[in-house]
Amino acid sequence: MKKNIPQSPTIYQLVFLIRKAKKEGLTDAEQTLLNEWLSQDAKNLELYNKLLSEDYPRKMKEMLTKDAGAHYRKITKATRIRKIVRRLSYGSVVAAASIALYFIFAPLVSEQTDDSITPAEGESDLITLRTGAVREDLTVHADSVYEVTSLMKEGTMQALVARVKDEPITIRTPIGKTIAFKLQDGSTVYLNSSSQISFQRNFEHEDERRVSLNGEAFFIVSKDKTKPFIVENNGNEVKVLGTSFNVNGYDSRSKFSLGLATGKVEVKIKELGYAKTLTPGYEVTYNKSDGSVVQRTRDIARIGLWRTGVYTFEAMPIVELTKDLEQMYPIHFVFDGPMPEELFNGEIVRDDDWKKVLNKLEMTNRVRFEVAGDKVVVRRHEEENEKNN
Amino acid sequence: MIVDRLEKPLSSKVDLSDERMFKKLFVGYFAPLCVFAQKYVGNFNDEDIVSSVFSNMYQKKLTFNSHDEFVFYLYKSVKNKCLDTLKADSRMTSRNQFYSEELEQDNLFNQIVENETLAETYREIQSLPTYSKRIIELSYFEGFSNQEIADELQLSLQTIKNYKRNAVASLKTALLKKILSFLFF
Repeated sequence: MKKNIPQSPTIYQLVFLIRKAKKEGLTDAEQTLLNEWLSQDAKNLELYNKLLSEDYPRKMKEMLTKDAGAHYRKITKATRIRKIVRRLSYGSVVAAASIALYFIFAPLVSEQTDDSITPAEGESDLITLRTGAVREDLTVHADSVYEVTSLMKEGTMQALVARVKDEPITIRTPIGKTIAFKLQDGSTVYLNSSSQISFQRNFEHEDERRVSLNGEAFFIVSKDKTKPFIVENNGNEVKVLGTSFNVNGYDSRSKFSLGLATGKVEVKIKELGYAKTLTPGYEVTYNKSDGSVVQRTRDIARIGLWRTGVYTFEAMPIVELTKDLEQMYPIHFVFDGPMPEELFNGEIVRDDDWKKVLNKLEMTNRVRFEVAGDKVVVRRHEEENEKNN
Repeated sequence: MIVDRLEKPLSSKVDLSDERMFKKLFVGYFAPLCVFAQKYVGNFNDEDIVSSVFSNMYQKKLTFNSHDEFVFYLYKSVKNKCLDTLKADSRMTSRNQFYSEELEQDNLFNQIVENETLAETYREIQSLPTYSKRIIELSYFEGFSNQEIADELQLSLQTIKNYKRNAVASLKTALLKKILSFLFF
């Protein structure tokens, strides 16, 4: 007997199935239909898993801010001269689209404004490279990926390279600057601002590829099964064979976190004797102050997104958020009185003026800032008090 | 929303010379297509691209045998226009060139599925009853307090609270619950 060949699902059947799977789960018949599509191509499965684990909040915000009304009027007006319905009952349908968002900062095209961001006193505002006793200031473009060897060949370093060839190399970034470079094994490192990383120039004679990091970096590790790539951060270790992931661990902060974009990594937290293998789309955060380890899903597209000059934060208390801002801008925060308990979500374009960023945060009506030079006093926004005054 | 049941046939004809049908489709698809276009051209001229594609389809009074056919045509046109814009941009760097070549090869069907999965949630919000939507707009997007909304809409404070709760409940998407509850409770 000839069986009916099951038909491939249509676009909206798939949309329906994916949304239902996400919300409440599928019936057997629905699952069969979905499996038909999933089995057609590995890319389908990849997309399905992505849609299941991600919510695309930024895209949703974008959609909700679009004003279809103006464009609709333009199109229909150009075609039909007389019959313009001014009443536009439809206006209410698109009204939601025209309203500004206040707690997610849309990454609008950033204009280069005045130079109100200046480096803090006494801190070098240049990216530096050290090896042995030699130190070099580097001038790099944010969008380029450099070969470490080419960085070293600049200026005085060149003459001294031979003498210090066994010394590890340390690269350090100041507030607000980032650098991307390739290690000798072909792995790429994106070093975020206020961070420092050390590594051997050449891994050829090593059993492993070990780098030590204080700060935040995104790694795209080239495959080499014989030599594991290890990121050491304040006693914690991340061990990988070939993958891309983000490590955030500043010595001065109580948080260590690891987000995985592709591949598989093993994370070891020494103080806890904790070791875990992580799969893509997950982030593990270890809080040194209370010893807690939290694993949560993370939008893969957002892991290491800071590389593109966009800083995103999710469910972040104000105290943590301001620490991040201190790493990006030459300002420091002082806290006055109780802090808001609400958690903040959002996105900041790094090139934005920090005053603009603070203004946006104030628009949440949860927090107030008082700026005096490079000092910023943070207070909880007290609605009642302001009304009484 | 486009789909609320699996069995619902989407084989009905799409006729863009039908004024009301065009309006409905435009309102439902404009914003999602803009976000789709942003993947290629950023948020600089995404609106103009989508608008001109719709305008073109409207002027030609195109008809389609099924909804899927319409959607496929729409996405394909927007994508092509985006790629043309990228290619025409004389300031385009070689990196963009590489990028656009890469994007060109993406599977359009899957791209549509991805974008439309999200678009359905967007339409879900748009389809909320007027008051619930207005209250969401005022609190979520304009930062009004419950009392301010009550004053604005001439409703009691308790009514506002009830509306909010119902609105959140009806937006079944976990994402929205998460974001909205931060402001509501």
